[in-house]
Amino acid sequence: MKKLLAVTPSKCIDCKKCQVACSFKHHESFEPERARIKVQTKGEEDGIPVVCLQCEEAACLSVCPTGALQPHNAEGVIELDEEKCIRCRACVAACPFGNITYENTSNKVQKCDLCKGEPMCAVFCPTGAIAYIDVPDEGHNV
Amino acid sequence: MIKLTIDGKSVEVSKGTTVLAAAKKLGIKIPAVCAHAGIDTFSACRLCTVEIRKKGWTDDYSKMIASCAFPAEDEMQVFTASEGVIKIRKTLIDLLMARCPDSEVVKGWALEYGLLKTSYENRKPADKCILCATCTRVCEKVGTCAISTNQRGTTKRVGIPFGEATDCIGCLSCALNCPTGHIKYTDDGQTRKIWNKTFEMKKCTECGKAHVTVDQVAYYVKKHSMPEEHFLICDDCKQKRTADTFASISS
Repeated sequence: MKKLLAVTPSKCIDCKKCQVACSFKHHESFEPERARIKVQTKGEEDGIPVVCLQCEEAACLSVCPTGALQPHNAEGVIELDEEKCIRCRACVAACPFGNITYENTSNKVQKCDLCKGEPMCAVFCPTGAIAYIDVPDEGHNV
Repeated sequence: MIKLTIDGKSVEVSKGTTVLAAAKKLGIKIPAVCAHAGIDTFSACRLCTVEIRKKGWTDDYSKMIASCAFPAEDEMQVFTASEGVIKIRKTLIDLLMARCPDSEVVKGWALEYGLLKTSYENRKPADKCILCATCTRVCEKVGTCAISTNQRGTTKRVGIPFGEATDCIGCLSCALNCPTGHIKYTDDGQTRKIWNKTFEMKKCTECGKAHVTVDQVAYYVKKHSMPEEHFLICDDCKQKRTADTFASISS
């Protein structure tokens, strides 16, 4: 069964807990600016979390010269193999949504891997704006 | 499947797996500087040298091999830190210290093996290049092939052919992957300079941030037949735009 992050912008209160949880999961430190998910502030207590959409026809995947970005696994996730990445950042330039980024502190490209099956952003989201849901095999949503 | 023992621990790997990868599977760390999973094997640094004994060999016979390139074989015995291996590694690091006396990275390796200074004479003039060719192989993978090793023997160096970086697109992959920080570049937010070539930057049409070089965009558009619009704005602004799209869909 494919699972995806479902984002409901109207429920987001711009608390950025998802960013904190994401940075702790991947960098073992509370540095929200290094997170793979980003909340775009729209107003007071109003934000929109933006995270990798795991596109079906992914631009990042098609430009990767080394195969570091691997085609969707059984869970429908495009994973980045850091060992194969040569930091050419073609994927960063190619992603039309800005959801794959170059992280300057660790000098690595990073993208959402859905925490290998337990996305921390969804676990820590207090309002349910980010939820990890099952999707039918045919369906694809954001 | 192939079954071999590394430092007395047995491991099973598929055919064609290198000794280095097999050791990694066991969590045994072998120093390897020029090995990179994303690019072709080159076996330049030799720091990953290990001792092997194959099936049928007598106990008094063994061989030194570069583990990054050597495929694992059935019933092979591997020794990653034997007396002979450590001796070779120390000699290599000793030579690298003489080659790159200013490299902090090489000094770090030397300290790990208890070497404080080289027993050879320092190279003059010296730079930080250890000739691992990671940069040229990365450039090859990107597809530009703008840099290569030039000349041979003691004058061998990494560089651009005939003094002109015609094919370089200024992606900085070579510099970002250089293990010793030998490859230098400057980026002042307006122009980027590397390999004696100055690159004009593409500025984000929304925030003005220079995010890619004009040559990079031309290269990606041509190579991957991608629309140029993908490269008009920087990743931050793309994300903002994505958020706006979400907002308009959900409202």
